[in-house]
Amino acid sequence: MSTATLLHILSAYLFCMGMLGLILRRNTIVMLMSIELMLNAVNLSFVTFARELAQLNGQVQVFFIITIAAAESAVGLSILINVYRSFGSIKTDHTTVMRS
Amino acid sequence: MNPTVASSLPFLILIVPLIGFFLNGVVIPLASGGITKTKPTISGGIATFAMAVSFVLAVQAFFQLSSNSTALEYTGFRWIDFGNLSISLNLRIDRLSSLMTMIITGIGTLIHFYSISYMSHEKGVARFFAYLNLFCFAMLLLVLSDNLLFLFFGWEGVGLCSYLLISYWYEEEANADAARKAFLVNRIGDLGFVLGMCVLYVQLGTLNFAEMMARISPTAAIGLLSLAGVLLFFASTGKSAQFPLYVWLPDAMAGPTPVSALIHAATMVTAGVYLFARMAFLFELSPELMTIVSYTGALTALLGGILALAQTDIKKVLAYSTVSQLGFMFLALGVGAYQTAVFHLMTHAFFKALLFLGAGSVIHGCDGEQDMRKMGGLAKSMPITFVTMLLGSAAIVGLPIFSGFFSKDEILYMALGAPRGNWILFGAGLVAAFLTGVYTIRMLTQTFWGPSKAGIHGHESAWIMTLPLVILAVLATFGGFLGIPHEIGTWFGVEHSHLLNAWLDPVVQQVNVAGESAPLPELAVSGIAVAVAIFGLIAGRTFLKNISFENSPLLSRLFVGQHFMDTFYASWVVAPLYWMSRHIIQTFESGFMGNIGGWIGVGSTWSGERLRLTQSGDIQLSMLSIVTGLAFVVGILIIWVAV
Repeated sequence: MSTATLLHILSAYLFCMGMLGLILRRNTIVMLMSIELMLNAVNLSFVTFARELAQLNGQVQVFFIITIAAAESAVGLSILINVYRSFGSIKTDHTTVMRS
Repeated sequence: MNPTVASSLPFLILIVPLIGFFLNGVVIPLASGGITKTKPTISGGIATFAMAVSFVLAVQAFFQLSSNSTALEYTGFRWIDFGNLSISLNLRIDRLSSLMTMIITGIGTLIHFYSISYMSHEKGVARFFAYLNLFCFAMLLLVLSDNLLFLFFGWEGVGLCSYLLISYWYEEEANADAARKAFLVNRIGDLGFVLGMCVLYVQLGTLNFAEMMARISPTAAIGLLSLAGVLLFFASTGKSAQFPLYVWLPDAMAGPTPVSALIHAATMVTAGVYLFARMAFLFELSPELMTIVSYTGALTALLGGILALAQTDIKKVLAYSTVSQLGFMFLALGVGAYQTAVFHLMTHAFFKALLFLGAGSVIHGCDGEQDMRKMGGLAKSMPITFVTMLLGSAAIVGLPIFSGFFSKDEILYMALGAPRGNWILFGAGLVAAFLTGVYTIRMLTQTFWGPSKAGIHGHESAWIMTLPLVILAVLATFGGFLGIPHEIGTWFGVEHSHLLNAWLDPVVQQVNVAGESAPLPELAVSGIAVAVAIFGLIAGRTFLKNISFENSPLLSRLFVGQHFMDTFYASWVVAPLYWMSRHIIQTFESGFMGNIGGWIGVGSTWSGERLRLTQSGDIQLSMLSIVTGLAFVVGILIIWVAV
C-alpha cells in the first residue's frame, strides 16, 4: 500500500475515533478534544490530498482550519466556564434541563 | 365570406342603452339624493330617449344594409389573445342582426315609454329603468356579436337582467322565488351552451361565426359537431322556454308587466330562435337533431296551448301563450324554415308586446287586479285598450290580413310541405292553432265582455300607455304584409312578395324547402288554419266561457295548479337533491368532516406522547441520531453508485 493510502486510512480512523469520543464521552472537555481530533483528521486528509495531487489548495485550507479551530476552542471553553457556573458540572448528563 | 364595411354604427347602437343604464343607475340617484327619490318622468325619459336613439341608429343601419347586403362591422378591442385562441369584441350587423336590432330597439322604446306611466306610482323607478336599459344592452350584445363568446355574454346578461327585473318587487317572497327559479332554470340550459362552445372550439379552433361557417364543411368529425348542436339546442330550450325547461317562464310573470312584455316580445326568449338562425350551418349537419327540435316545438306548442286554457291570471294566459308560440317557432326551425321562424318571431314580437301592454293597461285600470274572474265588461270603460287588444288577439289567432295569419300559416305550411315535415307536425300545429283561438277568446270574454263585477270598473289609461298600444296594434295588424306568400303575390302581379325572405336570403336560407312536394297548396293550408282558428274562437266563446276549471278535480289537476313539469321537477329533481343533501350532511358532514378535527387532535396527542421521548435534551443522543442518519444516507449513496 502506498503512503497516501495509509495516510487516508489513518485519517478516517482518527475521524471515527473523534466521532465516537464525541458521542460516547460525557465530559464536555473531552468532547471538545474529540472535535479537535476530528478536525485534525480532516487536516491530515487535506494535506495528503494536496501532496497526492500536487496542488497547494489543500495545505492552504489546513491553515484556515487550524485558525478557526483555535477560535472555536476559545469560544467553546468560555461557554464551558459559564455552564460550570450555572450547573456546577460540565458533564452533559448533568446539564440537561428538559425532562424525559 | 362576404366583404364587410367598417362602421361605428354597431358600437353606437350597443353603447347608447349602456349609457342610459349608467345615467339611471349611478348619476340620477346621486343627483336626486337617493334612489327612492328618483322621478319616473326623468328616469323614464332618459331611458326611453336612449332606446329611441338606439332605434334611430338601427334604422340607419337598416337603410345602409338595404342598398346592398354587405355587413357592417365594428372592430373593437382584442380581449383574449392566447395561443390559437383570439377573441375580440367585434360587432357586426348583417341583415339578420339588423332585423333583430330593429325589433329590440323599436319595441323596446315603446315598452320604455309605456313604463313611464305604468310605473308612475312606484318609488325609486331609476332602478327599474336602469335594469330595462341593461336588459336591452345585453340583448343587443347578443345579436350584434360576431362570435359565440360575446353572444354568450349577452345570453348571460339577459338572464341576469331577467332575474333582477322579475324580482323587482323583491319584498315579496314569491317574486324572489320566481326570479331564482328563472335564474336557475336558465343556468341549467346555459351549461349546455358552455359545453357546446367548448366542443365547437376544440373541433373548429374558432368561435367566430364566419370562420366557423368556413371551416365546418371540410370537417370530418360530424359526430362531435352534432353533439355541439345538441348542447346548443339544450341551451335554447332553457332561454326560449321550450319543453322541458319552459317552467320558469310562467313564474316570470311576477315582475312588472312591461318587463313581461320585454322578456316575451323583444328580448330574451327570442335568443334561442336567433341562435338557431345564426348557427343554421351547424344544426343542419344533423337531421336527427332537427327532427327532435321540430317535435319538441310541436309538443311545446300543444302544451303551452293546453295550459293557457285554464289560467285565471290574465298574464299567465299570455305567458303560456308565449310558450305555445315559441313552440311554433321551434317547429319551423326544426323543419328547416329558418326565415319563417324569424318571421313569426317578428310578428309575435308585435302582437305579444301589444297583448302584454294591453294586459298591463287592464291591470293598471283595475288597480292591480290580475284575476280575470273578477273582471268583466271592461270594453266600455277602456275602449282604446279593448280595441287594440282585439286587434292583437286577431293577430295571434291568425285571422286573415292580421300579421299572425301570414307567419303562422307559413309555419303550418312548412310543417307539412318541407321534407322534414309530416302530417303529425302539421296536425299538432293545427291543434295548437285551435287552442290559441280558444284561450284567446276566453281571455277576451272574461276581461272585456259580460257583466261588470262588483268593485272593479276600470278606467282608461293615460295617453303615455295607450300610444304604444296603438302603434303596436298597427304593427300587429299590418306587420304580416312583409311576408305575403308567393301565391297571393302573383295574383297582384308582384314577383317578390315575400319581402322578409328576400331580405334574409343573403344571411340565412330556408333549408330544403321545396314547395312543389307539399301535399297541399299553401292557400289550402291557410284556409284550413283559418277555419280551425275560427272554430276555436266559436268553441271558446260558446262552451268554455263559463267553465270553471277549479270545480272539476280532474281538469284542475291537469291544467291549473299542478303543472306536470313542476310536479315532475319537484319530485324527481328537487326532492332527490334535498334527500342527497340531507344524507351528505348527516353522514359526510357531521359524521366525517366534523370529526376530522377531533381525530387530528387525538392523533397529534398520541404521537406527541411518543415522539416526546426522543427529545430528551441529551446532546449526545441527538448527535448519535445525526451520525446514524448520515451513515444511512452515505450508505445509500455508496450502494447507488456501486449498482
